[in-house]
Amino acid sequence: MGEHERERQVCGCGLARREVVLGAAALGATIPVVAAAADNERRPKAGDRLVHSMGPKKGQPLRVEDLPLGGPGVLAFPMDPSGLVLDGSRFNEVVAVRLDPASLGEETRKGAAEGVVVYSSICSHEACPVNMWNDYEKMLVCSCHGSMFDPREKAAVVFGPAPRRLAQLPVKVESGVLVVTGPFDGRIGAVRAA
Amino acid sequence: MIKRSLFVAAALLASTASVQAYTPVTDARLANPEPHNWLMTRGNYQGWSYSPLDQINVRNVKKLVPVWTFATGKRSGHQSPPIVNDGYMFITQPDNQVIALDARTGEEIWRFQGQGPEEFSALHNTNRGVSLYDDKVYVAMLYGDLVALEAKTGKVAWKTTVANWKVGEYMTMAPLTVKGKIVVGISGGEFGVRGFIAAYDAKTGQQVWKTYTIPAPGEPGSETWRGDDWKRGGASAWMTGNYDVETNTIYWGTGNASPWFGDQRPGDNLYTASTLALDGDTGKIKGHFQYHWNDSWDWDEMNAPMLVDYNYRGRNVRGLIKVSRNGYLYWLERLQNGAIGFVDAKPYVYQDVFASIDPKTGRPTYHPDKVPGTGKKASFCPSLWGGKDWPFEAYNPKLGMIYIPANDNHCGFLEGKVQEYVAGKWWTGVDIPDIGFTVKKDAKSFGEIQAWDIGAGKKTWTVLYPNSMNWGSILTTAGGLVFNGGTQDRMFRAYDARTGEQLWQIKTSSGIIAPPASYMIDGVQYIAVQAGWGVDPQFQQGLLANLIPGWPKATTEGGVLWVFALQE
Ligand code: FES
Repeated sequence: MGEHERERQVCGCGLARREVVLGAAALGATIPVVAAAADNERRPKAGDRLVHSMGPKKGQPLRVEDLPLGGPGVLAFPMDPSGLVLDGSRFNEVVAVRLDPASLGEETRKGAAEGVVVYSSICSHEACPVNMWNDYEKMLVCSCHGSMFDPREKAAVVFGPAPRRLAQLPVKVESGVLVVTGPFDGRIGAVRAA
Repeated sequence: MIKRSLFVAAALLASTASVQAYTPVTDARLANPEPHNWLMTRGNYQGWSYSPLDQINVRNVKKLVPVWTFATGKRSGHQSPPIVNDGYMFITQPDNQVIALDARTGEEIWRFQGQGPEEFSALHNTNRGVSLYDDKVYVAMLYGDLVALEAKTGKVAWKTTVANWKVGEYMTMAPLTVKGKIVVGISGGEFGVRGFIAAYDAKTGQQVWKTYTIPAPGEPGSETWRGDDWKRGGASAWMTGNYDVETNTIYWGTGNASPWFGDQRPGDNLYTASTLALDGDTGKIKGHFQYHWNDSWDWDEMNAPMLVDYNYRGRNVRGLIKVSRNGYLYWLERLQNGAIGFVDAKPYVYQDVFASIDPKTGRPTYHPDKVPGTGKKASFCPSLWGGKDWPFEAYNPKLGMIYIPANDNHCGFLEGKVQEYVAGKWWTGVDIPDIGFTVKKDAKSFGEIQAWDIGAGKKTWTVLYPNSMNWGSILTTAGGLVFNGGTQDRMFRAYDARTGEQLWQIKTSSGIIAPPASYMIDGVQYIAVQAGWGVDPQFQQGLLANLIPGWPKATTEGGVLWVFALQE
């Protein structure tokens, strides 16, 4: 995957804020204040649009024509209807790939639009960014230990230590722009104690 | 899911073991460790990985049997040696775990579970062990904290943040204790960090000094960098250093230059791929030796050289012996003012990059077609994992021999590109799928143990592994033995240190990539090692399975400590 698809750093400030949530709750503070502070960390949901997360088009809507047919993928963050980019959590970053719709598995196709599939870019192994592309095998590749995921089949693991597929984010296309139609269909991140 | 605590939280499990008195660790003990203990990662400050115990020896090692084992409950690569102090044993695991055991019975005394930020991602989910001082145990958290634990209880005495994981800094090494200070260095050479080594007061956790491994403009060595390249120039410091008590000098190694392609940061790029000599009190750089300038092969030289005095070509040398990732074995000299002198260097595996080495300075020249660059593909041997990666070589002072866990017959090719820098993300100039890895077509073996006579400058014997690389650190003993795991077949083996004859082996629970250690309690000598395959050997195994028909795709994961003694 080329440099234009690399994501930008997302601050993990949400972590500190969630510590405050508990402290504040204990003191009887009202929850809405906290919820507002965490707006850019919430997970994507129906109605959010995707925007480029890095490169020259960073922050601009992700359009179908921005995606080369057959890969590689492009990294994106969801943006809420008010225009707030949900980049407060790196776990919100996704990778979008445009493929021949006929090549998509039946289950995968349900969340795809015009051949575009969108997955969490957080690897299920050690939570590294899945932001690379194997152009021979046309597979998504993790940037830490090379796990490969098949974008045509719900991002199933085809190689490497990742224990689980990537979560899919269902999308539709509106005026050429990718729009989220529902939440991730699986959990995000690695399973570990620490 | 609600997280109750986001950073370090100790989970202390109640102990059923009878907790015995704890012997405080002093400077004097660290300078002269008792033979029956294993007080630091490599056994002594010189970094020998040598045990002076000889109850287990060439004559009886065949009777070595497991006396107890202990499941760590963790997967991923286990890379820490058991650290033993008068009956207490401390082992660490991936996921920021530390366990204290009764070294005689295997009873668990306490367990510490550090907890990092949920969004932390781990390129190397491992830990290489604790260091000891007074009544405390020190451990570096993967996500960047240094934590002091009470040795008897595992309670947190203090913690401090050393590394910033959001910019790709993290920690995997065992700290080094030097005169009441705990010295650590950071990982992150694949993320565009600027490396550093820092010392903290053992009692309070206050920082005493911090030395960047890349000079800022105006500092000596800064002339070897262009513009702002130094800010993300690499030279991480991800392995524990060694220490010369007599001159109060810490020898610490540095990693690859960043990004990987030298033409993106013209100059020698000091102090990447070097050994630094640091003043123990101040961290001031007293000397350095750079193994290869303008690194373009991801050849970290992170391991500190062993402190070995030797006689070479008729001259007594207060020496350093360095088994380099670049495929050369170096004879160096510790000069009184802290400078590092060059004595000799010889390839110990096939290396096709160096055209020559200056006999006075040790500076190499390169075959230009073996130097990858931006838009310039080049192949080179050995591959980026080098003739030897981080696993420890060992020195046996009774025999004057060193033992190298080497890997030969593998090469790599790389072609660089300019990658957009994103803090905390892979930034090497090449994507993972484009990292070329090859093996020699007619290769009969890959992993090796090489024994070298240091004074004679000659290899004396070699063990070859036809079906595996060797990722195992070596332990040598006064019993005339060499212990080594490191192969993907889960074996742990003992060899005659004089001849290389295999004397004993056992099939363990997983591949062994942790250093073995030896200790004695109540007159019984033990050999102890953690099995637990993962990280780089596992990744490389996957690549090899694609290249070599029949190569096993995976070795089972899961950590188990094995403790051996002679059958009664
Ligand atoms: S984190 Fe993705 S393969 Fe390890």
